[in-house]
Amino acid sequence: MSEGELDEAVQQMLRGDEAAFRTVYRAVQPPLLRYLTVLVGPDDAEDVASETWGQAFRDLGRFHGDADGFRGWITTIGRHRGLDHLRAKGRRPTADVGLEILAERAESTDVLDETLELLGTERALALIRTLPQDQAEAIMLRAVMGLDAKAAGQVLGKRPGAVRSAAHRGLKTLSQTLGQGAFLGSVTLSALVTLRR
Amino acid sequence: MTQPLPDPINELLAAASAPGTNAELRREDHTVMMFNAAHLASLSAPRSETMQTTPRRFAAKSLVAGIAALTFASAGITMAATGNLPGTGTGQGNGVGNGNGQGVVNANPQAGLGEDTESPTTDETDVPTDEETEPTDPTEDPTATEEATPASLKGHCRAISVGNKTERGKALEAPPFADLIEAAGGIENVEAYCAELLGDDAVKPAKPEKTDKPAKAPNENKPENTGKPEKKDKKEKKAKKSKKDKKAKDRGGKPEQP
Repeated sequence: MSEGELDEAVQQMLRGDEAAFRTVYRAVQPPLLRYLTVLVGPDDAEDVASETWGQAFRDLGRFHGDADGFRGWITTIGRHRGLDHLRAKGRRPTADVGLEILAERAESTDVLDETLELLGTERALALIRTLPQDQAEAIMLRAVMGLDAKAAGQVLGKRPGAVRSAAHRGLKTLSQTLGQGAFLGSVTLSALVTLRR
Repeated sequence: MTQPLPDPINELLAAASAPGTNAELRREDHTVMMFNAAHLASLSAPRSETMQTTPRRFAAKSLVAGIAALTFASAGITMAATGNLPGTGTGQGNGVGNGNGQGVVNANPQAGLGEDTESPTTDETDVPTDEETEPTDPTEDPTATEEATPASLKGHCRAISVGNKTERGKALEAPPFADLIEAAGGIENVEAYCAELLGDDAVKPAKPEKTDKPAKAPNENKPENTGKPEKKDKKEKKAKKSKKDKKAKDRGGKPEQP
């Protein structure tokens, strides 16, 4: 699905086209769910995602834009829902999960090959979730939701530069966590860029 | 992919942004239902004034009015009485999906949004999924159609009988009364029609034929009784909600409970 096709699907969705909505949902729900998994944890992410869609539907008349715009818009809704959810539960956003992943990693002798082959989506999210919230969110919005620094900044209420630096710090930490500090530098810095934009 | 060196960060990010899985999309159908319901609501809400009096539209409206009576009867009557239905006069009228869910959607989004923000989950499931999908298949609940029609007209009759003559004339210009006028066979007949309708109601205040929706009875038969509407409505809402939540859970299913 090209971005242009998704743009078109978003426009048709706004006119109430169910098939177009399914297309949009299939493109947006997985990254949205993953972002919310990092924000509120895997147990609650799906419920918060449903709430997010519900609110989005109620407010859809106020949305105007393309696929990129929709991603940013619904991510903003999701973030508010997620933070509300955390407040209601009296929890801080990111939690101490993912330590077991590090433990598993420590047992591995051939770090590069084994750790990363084992790294499925869930574990990757759990690892990102060990980061401070601002860094984890910046990484998820840029690398997974596919937002550029400006759009991510709008979601997070930050300047683009602050988002970039938070993402960079997070990646640096993750890189060290994975035992590959030597790769820091241009390769790591380019990671976000090469993935989406 | 273009990296010459294996970069664990790239692989981590690739794993985090891998293509979506079926598990992540398992609530798709449920979400689509929410989407359709919300779309119907958005179509109908600002369109009250396009509510012409074609039989089909009339039936749809009556059905929806009956359903609305479940939870929003008093609000609807109030609106009718003041002649200030929200959205009257702002319709766009491009002809898409007219005649769906008029009564419900006027009240619903506001009621849903105005609720306690403490329970966003129930708030979300309160999107008029069930109420909105029902009218699309009238065969599912035929009794609602038959009973709702006189009830909504009676409600309108009561609404206009509250005001004085001048107000009454004004109120009758409001779009919601178009079907009342049609049912009466002209604006000059409304008074007689209402007298008959309400008189008839007074003779047999309780309808003998009962449906599987007992909650509707008090609202339908004495919509003028606004003594404690909020409490009643809340209770009914709660009951509805928990039912819906259960439904939503059944549909969605949690990962731990296959």
